Amino acid sequence: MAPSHARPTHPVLSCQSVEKLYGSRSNVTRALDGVSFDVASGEYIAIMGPSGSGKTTLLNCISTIDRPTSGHILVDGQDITSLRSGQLSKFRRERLGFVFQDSNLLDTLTARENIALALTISHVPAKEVVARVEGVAERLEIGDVLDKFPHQMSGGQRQRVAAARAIVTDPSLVLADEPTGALDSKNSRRLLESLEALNADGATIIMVTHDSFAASYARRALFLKDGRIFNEIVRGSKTRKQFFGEIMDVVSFLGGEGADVR
Amino acid sequence: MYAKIALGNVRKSFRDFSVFFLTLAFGVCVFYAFGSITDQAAVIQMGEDQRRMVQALTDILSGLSVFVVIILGFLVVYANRFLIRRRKREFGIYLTLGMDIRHVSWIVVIETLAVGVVALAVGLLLGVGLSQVMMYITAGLFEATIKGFVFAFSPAAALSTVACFAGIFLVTLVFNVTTVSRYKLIDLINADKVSEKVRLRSLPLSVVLFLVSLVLIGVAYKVLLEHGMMEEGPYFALATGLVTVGTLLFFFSISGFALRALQASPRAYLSGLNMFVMRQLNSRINTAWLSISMVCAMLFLAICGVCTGFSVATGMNESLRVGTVYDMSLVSYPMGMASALVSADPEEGPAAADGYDAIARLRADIPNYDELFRDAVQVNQYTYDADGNLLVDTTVEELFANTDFTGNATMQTMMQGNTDQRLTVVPVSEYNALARMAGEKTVELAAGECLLWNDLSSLDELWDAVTAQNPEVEVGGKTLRFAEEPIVHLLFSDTAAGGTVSGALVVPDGMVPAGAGPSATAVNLMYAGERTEVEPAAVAAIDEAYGDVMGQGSTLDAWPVWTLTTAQGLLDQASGTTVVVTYLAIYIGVVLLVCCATVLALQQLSEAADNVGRYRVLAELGAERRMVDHALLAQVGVYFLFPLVVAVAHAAVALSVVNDIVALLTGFQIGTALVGTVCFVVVLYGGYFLVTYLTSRSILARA
Repeated sequence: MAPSHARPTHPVLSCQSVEKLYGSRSNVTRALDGVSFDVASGEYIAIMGPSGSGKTTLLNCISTIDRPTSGHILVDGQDITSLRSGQLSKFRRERLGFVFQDSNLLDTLTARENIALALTISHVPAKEVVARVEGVAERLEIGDVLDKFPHQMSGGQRQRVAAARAIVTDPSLVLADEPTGALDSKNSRRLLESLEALNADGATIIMVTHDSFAASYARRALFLKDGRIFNEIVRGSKTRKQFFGEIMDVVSFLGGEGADVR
Repeated sequence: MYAKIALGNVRKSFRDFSVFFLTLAFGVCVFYAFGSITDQAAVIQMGEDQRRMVQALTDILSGLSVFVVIILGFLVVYANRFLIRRRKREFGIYLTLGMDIRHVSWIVVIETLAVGVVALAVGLLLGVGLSQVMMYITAGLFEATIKGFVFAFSPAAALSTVACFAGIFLVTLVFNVTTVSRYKLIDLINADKVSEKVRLRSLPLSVVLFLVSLVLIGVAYKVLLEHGMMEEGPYFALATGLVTVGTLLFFFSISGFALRALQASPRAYLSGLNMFVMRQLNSRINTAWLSISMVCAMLFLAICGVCTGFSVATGMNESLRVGTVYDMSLVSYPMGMASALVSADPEEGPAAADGYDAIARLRADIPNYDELFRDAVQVNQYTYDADGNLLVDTTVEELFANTDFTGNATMQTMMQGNTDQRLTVVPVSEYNALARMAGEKTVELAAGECLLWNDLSSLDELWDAVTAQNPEVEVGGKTLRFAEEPIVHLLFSDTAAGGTVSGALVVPDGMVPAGAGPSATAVNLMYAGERTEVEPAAVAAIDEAYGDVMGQGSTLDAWPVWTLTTAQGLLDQASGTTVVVTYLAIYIGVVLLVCCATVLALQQLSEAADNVGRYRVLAELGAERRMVDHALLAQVGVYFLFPLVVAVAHAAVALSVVNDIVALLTGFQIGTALVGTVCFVVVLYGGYFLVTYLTSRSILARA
C-alpha cells in the first residue's frame, strides 16, 4: 500500500517508531513493535485490527494513560512521552477528548453538568461554559436530554453526550475507543454521523474499532496486526459503501471478522 | 487449604482489614483499662474515703460497661459489614470456581478469627499500657503517691474483657456466616457493576424542608434559653422534640439546599470540581442522612457529657477552695429549726441555759480544747427578739419579687418558692471577729446603716439589684439603710456548696435586742497545728462530746453542734468525686466519640471504594491530582464537619443552660471545661478525619 497522503497541514499527531514491551526479561510480549504514522489536523482515522493486535495499547499510549517503552509520540509538535505527571493532566485537559465504549459519564451529574465538567476543570469562566455547552449540545442534537441523568437516557444519547463532553474543550485530538461497541445499529449510525459532522467542522478524530461499518465513516483506516501497521487505506473520493467494501477486503484478508457482512 | 486462603487474604488485603482490626483493638484496650481501675487503685496508697470513692467508681463503671459493650458490639459488626461488602466479587469468584457456600463461610470464619485474636491480643497489650498510665493519673487526681515503679495487671479485667469480646465476636461470626450464605452468585458477580440508584429528591422541596428545619431548631433554642431546664411545664420536652425533628430534617435537606443555593450562582457552581462535589454529597445523603443524624446525636451527648463532667468536677474544686476557709465549722440551731414561724420561747433548751455561748460550752465539754484549737469565732443569726417577735418581717422572696432583675431563667426558677424565709440579723461585731480570724477586711457601720451578707457568689448580681432597688429595710421597728457598698462576702461556715448564707443583714450591735436567742449559730474554729495532724483528734473530741445529739433527734437539743464540717474532710471527699466524675466523663466521651468517628470513617472508606470509577473519569478529563484531592477533602470534610458543627451548636445552647445550673450550684463557669473538651474532640475526631482522608486518597490513587 502507498504511504498516506495527508492533507498539506502540519501533523497533529506523529507517532515515531513507538514500541511497547510487556513482561519480564525472559518473557517479553511486544504489544507495539515500531509503529509510525502521522495524523494531520482535521483528519478522521480509524485504527482497526483483531484482538491482541495492539490497538488499545496504541490508544493508551497516545492518550498518555500508558507510556511507550521506546519511540516518540508528538502532539502538536510536543513530545508527550517526556511529560511529567503534572504536565500530563494539563495535556489531557487541553488537547484530548475521550469517548469510551461505556460512555463513562458520571452518574451523579446531569448531561449538562457532565459536559460542563470538562470545561470547569480547565477553569473556563462560567458564562463561557454555559454558552459552549449549549452550542455543542445543539450540534450533537442532545438539547432535550441536557437536564437528564445518565440513567434516564438511552445508550445512544449517553454516547452522544460523551462525544459532546469530548469535543466541548476544542481538543486537538478526539480519541474514541470502540464508541459504538455498546450500541445497536441505529444508534451506532446516529453516533457515527455525529462524529462525521464534528469532523466536517474541523475536529481531528482517532477511532479505535473492530467494527468495519464504524470504520467506514472515517477518511482513512489503519490496520494493526501483531503490533505493527499492516496496512493503510484512504477513502479519498470513494463513497462510504465503496470504502466499507475495501475495509472488508482487508479484514477478511487478516482473517478477522470475515463473515461479518452488513 | 481454606485456612491458607483465609490467612493469605488477610495478609494481602491488610489495609482493608485494618479498620476492623483497629476498631476491635481500640474497644479491647479501652474496655480493659477502665475495667482494671479497682486493681490499679489497690497499688495506690490512699485513704479510706478515697477507697470508697474508687469502689463507687468501679460500681458505676461496671454498670456502664453493659452500655459500652453494646455500642462497641454494634461498631464491630458495622466495621465487619464494610469488610464483607467490599469483597462480594471475590466471594463470587470462589463460588464460580466450584467452592461450596459453606466453604466460603468457613474462610470468612477463619479470617475473622485470625484478625480478632490478634486484635484482642494487641488491644489487651495496649490496655495494660493505658491502665499503667491511668494508674499514675488516678494517683495524681487523688493526690496520692505510688512508691517506686509498680506494674499492675488485672486478671479479672482481662478475663471480663476477653469474655465480652468473645461474645461480640460470636455475634459478628454469626452475622458474617448468615450474610455470606444468603448471597446469590449472580449478585456477587455483578456486585461491581450495580451502582446505587441515585434517587432524586425535588430540590425545591429540599429548600423548603431546610428552611423549616432551621425554624424548628431556632424555636427550640429560644424555648430552652428562655425557660431553662428546671422550669415546670412542657418546655424542656418541647425543646427536645423540636430540636430532634429539626436536626433530622436539617440533614435530610441540607445537601439539596446547598446544591440549589450553589446552582443559583453559576460562577461558583461552574468552577473547578464544585459541581462534582455537590452532586457527590447529594447522591449519598439519601442513604446517609439518618446515620449522620445519629452521629450528630452521639457527638452531642459526648460533648455535653464530657463538658458537664469536667465542669462539675472543676466547679466543685473551685467552690471548695472558696468554701474551706476555716478548719472546722460547727453549726447549730439553738431555738430549734426556725422554719416554722411560731414564736419560740428563748428561755427553753440547753442553749438558752448556756446563754447561747457555744464556745464556752465547747471549752467545758472538751478537756484538751486549747491543745486542739487556737482560735474560734461564734456568729449568730437572729430572727426573733427576746419576746419572740420577728425582727425583720420581710421574706427573701418578697424582696426578689420587688426587684426588677433580668437574670437567666435558671436562676429565677431556682429562687422561686425556695426562699420563704425571713432576712436574719447578725451583729457587726461578730462579723468583724470572724473577718479578723479569716484575715479579711473588717467593716464599719454608721448608725442607721446595714449590710447584706451573701457568700454565694453566683447570687451577687441578684443581691446587687435587690439592694439598689430596695435601699431601706425595717429591723425591729427601725429603718436601716444599706451602706454604700451594701454587700459583704465572707464565708459563713465551711461548705462544699460554695456558700451557706444568703440574705443576712449585718447591723450595728445595738440593733439586736438583749436576751434574744439566735435562730442559727456557727462556730468556726482554727486548729492549733497542721490540718492533717490535728483533724483526727479534733473530730474525735467533738464526736466524744456530742456524738449522741449531733445530727439526730431534735435540733433544739443538739447544742452546740448539729452539723460538723471540716475543711480537710470536704477536700478529701471532693478529690474522690473529681476522679469519679472525670473518669466517667472521659470514658463515655471517648467511647461515643470514637464510635461516631469510626462510623463516619467506614462510610467514607466504603464510598471511596465505590467512587473509584468516578475519580478515574476525572483523571481522564485531565483534572489535576491536587484538584481531585481537594474534591475528596471537601467530600470527606463535609461528612465529618457537618455533624460536628450541628452537635457543637446544640451543645453550646444546652450547655449555656447547664452552665446556669452549674454556676448557681458551684459558682463555676463551664467555659474552662469547654476549651479542654473542644481540644479533646478536635484531636480525637480530627485524627480520624485525617486517617480517613488519607486512606480514601490512597484507595483512589491505587485504582
